[in-house]
Amino acid sequence: MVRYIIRRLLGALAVLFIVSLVTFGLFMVVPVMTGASPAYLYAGKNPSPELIANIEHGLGLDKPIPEQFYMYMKGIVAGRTDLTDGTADGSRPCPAPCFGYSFRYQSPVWDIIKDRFPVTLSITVGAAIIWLSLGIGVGVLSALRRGGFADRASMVFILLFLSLPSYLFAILLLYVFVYGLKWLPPTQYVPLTESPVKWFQALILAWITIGFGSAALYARLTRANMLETMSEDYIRTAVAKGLPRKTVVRKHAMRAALTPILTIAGLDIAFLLGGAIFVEKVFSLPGLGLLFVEAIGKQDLPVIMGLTIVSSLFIVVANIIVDVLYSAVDPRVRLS
Amino acid sequence: MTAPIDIDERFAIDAIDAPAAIAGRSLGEIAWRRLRQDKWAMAGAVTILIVILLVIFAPLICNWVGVDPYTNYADSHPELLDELGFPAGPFSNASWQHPFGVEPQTGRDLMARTLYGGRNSLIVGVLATVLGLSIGVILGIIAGLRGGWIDSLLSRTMDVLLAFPVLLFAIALLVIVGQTSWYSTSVVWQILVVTFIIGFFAWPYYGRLIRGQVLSLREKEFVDAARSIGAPNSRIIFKELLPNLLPTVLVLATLAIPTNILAEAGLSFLGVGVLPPTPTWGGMINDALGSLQLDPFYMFVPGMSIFIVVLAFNLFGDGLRDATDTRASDL
Repeated sequence: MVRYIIRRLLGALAVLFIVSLVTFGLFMVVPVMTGASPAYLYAGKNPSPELIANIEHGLGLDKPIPEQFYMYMKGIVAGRTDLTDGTADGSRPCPAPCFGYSFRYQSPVWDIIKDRFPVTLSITVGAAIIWLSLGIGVGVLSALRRGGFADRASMVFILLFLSLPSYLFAILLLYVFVYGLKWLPPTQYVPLTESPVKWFQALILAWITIGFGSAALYARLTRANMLETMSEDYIRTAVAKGLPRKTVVRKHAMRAALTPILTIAGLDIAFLLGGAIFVEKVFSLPGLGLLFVEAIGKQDLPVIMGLTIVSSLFIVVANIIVDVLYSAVDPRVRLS
Repeated sequence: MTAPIDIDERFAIDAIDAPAAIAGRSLGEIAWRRLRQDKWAMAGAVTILIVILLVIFAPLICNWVGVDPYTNYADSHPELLDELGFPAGPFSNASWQHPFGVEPQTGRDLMARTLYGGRNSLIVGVLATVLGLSIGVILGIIAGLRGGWIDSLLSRTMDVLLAFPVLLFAIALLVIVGQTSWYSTSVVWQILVVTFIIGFFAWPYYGRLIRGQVLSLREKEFVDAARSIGAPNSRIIFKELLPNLLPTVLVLATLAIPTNILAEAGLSFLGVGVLPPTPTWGGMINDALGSLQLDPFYMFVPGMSIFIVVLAFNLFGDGLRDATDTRASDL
């Protein structure tokens, strides 16, 4: 078990290294090839050549690219002290994990990410509660009443939401409940610790958007898995030996049918923690997704790089957690 | 899914149609018969056909109405917009001259932009699917058939790609190329690059699925039989494996096209990918978001277009999957 986890962690590090390498390569090599140094993005309008040279020196852009990559990776692990803003006394301390300084906010990327993360975390937790309960509930129900009215209705629900992109649904909700019925104020995010009611009002539409959209997918998966499990021999055995139907469904069928669903949920939650880009954009929720959208607009390269690497960290960590949990829940799976 | 009454009916029809002698049907014929009986799948297919015809004949339709997607009609007809720059009538000021109305501020024709936008969306959706599936099928077959270190290498590559925050990465890539002049000035390049990025990040999904199927197919007796009479690998692949993979590939394709259309729309919605003034559905939705309160109909047109097209492909894809499912009981 311990050996397995260690091996998986090493594999995860390798994946993260590759992601960092590719991301870094993209952002450092391509701008140089296209003729515009990232220093221009940093400098503002009409910079003088000296200023560009100073900034390039301050950001380490004048060093060979492999050395830049080494400094970047080292910065993530150990922090860096060599960054300046281009002036003589403009030293920029950047403690670990250092993803550099944002061009736009002039502060360490990690601080901004830490600052924005609670919003994305709030969105993810609420949405996951909705999509897991609704998706699994609808899926189990329609599998147990196969061909009946509930099943048909849920198939319609599934198809509609699978065909509706999240941003369109979000816009629809925004139009109806904020602009039309005015049940909710225009979104203004407030931290949970400040005012739970306003926090809830700001997030409820985002939760519904992501929750319903993903619930459709989960209902479909749950239904298929339940149908397959219910036709297994051991289910027939359980029924034949006289167990009540409730016990058979809950103890025998659902446990087997839902395990794979929970592993997928783990990965989806990890993806979402990297930023719910579309929903955060529509509802102006200042999480990691909106940070990313803003960084695109401002071409804030360090922020884009930092977010890409942090997102893949979520994904690889979730992968490991899910696999370990899977072996705990499902005794047929052995880790090796 | 199928209620007992349906099965009875099908047997009844078979009994009437069947010739005196029992005729053998190929799997393809059986699938086609089932598909034709699936009302929803056929509705999806008809919708897809209509949309394809509409976007193919977009230039003709627009010529006939007398509009194009790029002219700012407000310049020559200021009465189209009110003093705030919003359409001067309901439904984005729809009229015979501008059937879906006009855009706020510019007065560009929304029907022309929707039709041409649909063109770009469908081109990207279909080409990205062809690309992703081609790579996925070829590498999936190689990995499954060869095994050994080639399989390990390809499988690990797929694992790494699947662990990528794909959306973020695609956006990042497009932000970079968006700064170059060859990209920002050429619609053809934009469409090709977006197609390539979507197709490239999608192939591991297909590759992994095809690899799994090849792994089980290659152990089948008919493949052993072919090998034992000395069939070369090329024959095994083209005559034994591919025909058996075809249903999977077809279903994957019909379900991948809407996914890729949504991916393209999502990128345009975020302002990367196919750049303005070239119309795309995602780009139109992004523009319409800014005037949602004062001109909601602007959102309705591209929004419904995406929804209907994706729904049609999903209906058809689901029907196709049910029809080709050889595990189903009535084979």
